[in-house]
Amino acid sequence: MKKRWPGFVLFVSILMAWEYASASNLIDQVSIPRVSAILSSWIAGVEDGQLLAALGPSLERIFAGFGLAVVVAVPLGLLMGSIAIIYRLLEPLTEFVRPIPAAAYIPVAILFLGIGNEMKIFVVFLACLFPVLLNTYGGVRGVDAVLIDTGRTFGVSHVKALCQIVFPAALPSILTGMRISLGIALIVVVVAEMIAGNSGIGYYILDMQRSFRIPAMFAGIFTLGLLGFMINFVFLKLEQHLLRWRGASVET
Amino acid sequence: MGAPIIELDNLAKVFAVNGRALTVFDSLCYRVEKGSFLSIVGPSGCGKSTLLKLISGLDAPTRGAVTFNARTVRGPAKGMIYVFQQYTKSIFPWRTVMQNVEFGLNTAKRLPRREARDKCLEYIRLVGLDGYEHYHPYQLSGGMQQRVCIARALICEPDVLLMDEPFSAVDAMTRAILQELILKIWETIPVTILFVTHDVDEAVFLSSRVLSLSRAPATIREDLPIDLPYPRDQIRTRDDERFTVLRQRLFSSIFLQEKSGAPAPAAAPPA
Repeated sequence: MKKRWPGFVLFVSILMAWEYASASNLIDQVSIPRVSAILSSWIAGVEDGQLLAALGPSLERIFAGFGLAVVVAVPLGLLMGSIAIIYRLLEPLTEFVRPIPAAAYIPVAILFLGIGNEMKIFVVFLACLFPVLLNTYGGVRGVDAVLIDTGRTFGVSHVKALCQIVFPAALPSILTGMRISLGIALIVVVVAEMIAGNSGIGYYILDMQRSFRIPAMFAGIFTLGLLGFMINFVFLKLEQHLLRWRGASVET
Repeated sequence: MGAPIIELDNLAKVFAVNGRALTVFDSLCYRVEKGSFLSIVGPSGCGKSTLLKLISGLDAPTRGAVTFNARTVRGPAKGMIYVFQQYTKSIFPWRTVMQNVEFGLNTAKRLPRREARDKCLEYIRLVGLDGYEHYHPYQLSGGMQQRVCIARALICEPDVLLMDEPFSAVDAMTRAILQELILKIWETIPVTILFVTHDVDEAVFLSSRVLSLSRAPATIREDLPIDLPYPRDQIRTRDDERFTVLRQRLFSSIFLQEKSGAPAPAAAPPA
């Protein structure tokens, strides 16, 4: 925490430069309003509940999609990582599907699921699935042979070894996959909301732009920045807590 | 000789290395006396660790069989626990000392909570880690981590403890202390110890018997009873004339092989 101030100073300096540039019309004040105007719009948006009303559905979609992805990907990844035949069966498929950007599924998902919540949750789910899956089976395959042999010499069953040895050993990698997924979930939900539907922070930003309420549009974007920061912060704290047995602090 | 606890019957192990067959040993026969402290020494790459892996059931022989308590070993056998050289990779870093030892106990038997706790503490005390029950491995030195692994193994009350160069990764002083510790344990509880080491001094100091293997394909070059009295002591025992004689005999046999033999198979130039 104590080494944070240089970054904070730079951040504030940029905002001040922006404020000045916009106020003195060095940049177009209509397209890029003053920071103070954006902030007061943000405060107004928070006070009248509009911003939070927009944020609510997005958060719901992020956590539903992400939660489903974790529930599916972690057990599947554990199986892929520990049973060779399942790995050989699924690995080519995942390698092919994985590079397709999740946003590309939106048109397909609309065909099957419409433009409502289900479609958005599904797209977030798909986007979150692969980082968690890859990091889970990667983590499992990276578990040291000595650790596996330790379980064997104590005569523990495969299931017990998976739960008590392989899972905790792969946990750092699994958590990394989950953190990556959360970042992607935020991107994908905004894209999905901008393409279809009439709720969520992505829709809010687009709507403000269309109705020429530019400070409110920026307020929405700032909110996303804040949200991303907070999600990452909370998750890192969780990660540090779960991996406190590693001693050294988790990278931030 | 007393009752054998382990028997090797024409044991053979062949590895495929770069498409070529590497015979580690061809037809090894031996009987391990119950309650003995048997060390296995030999030139590097002679297959000491491989032999221990086969006995433990972690690896399977190409031909022949290992018999443990009159049963053929097929897979990791109950009653034998393997203690690894790389304790940092064998200990469970997410578990405290107590929980690591508890893991061993749970694989052996189910006890009521309180009894289980007391038993864990008893074994933690046996390896001299009392007061460290709630430490995580990262907070412990290497020697202490290996003590945890030893306690975790012993709490299962195994008939046989298989130790693969368990003290080779700790500093010299810690090693001397751990050697005395394992001797004290062996004299306290009824356990047969098979101990692989590259350190001839260590083998002579600890063992009731030392098995010296030749380079691969390994045969038994020497099967030497160590008739030094127990309890042994780092200062007095090493001062004993017989210690020096036995140590010299084993050392020269291995050293001459290392020096005169062909380079180790792994480093062999292409034919």
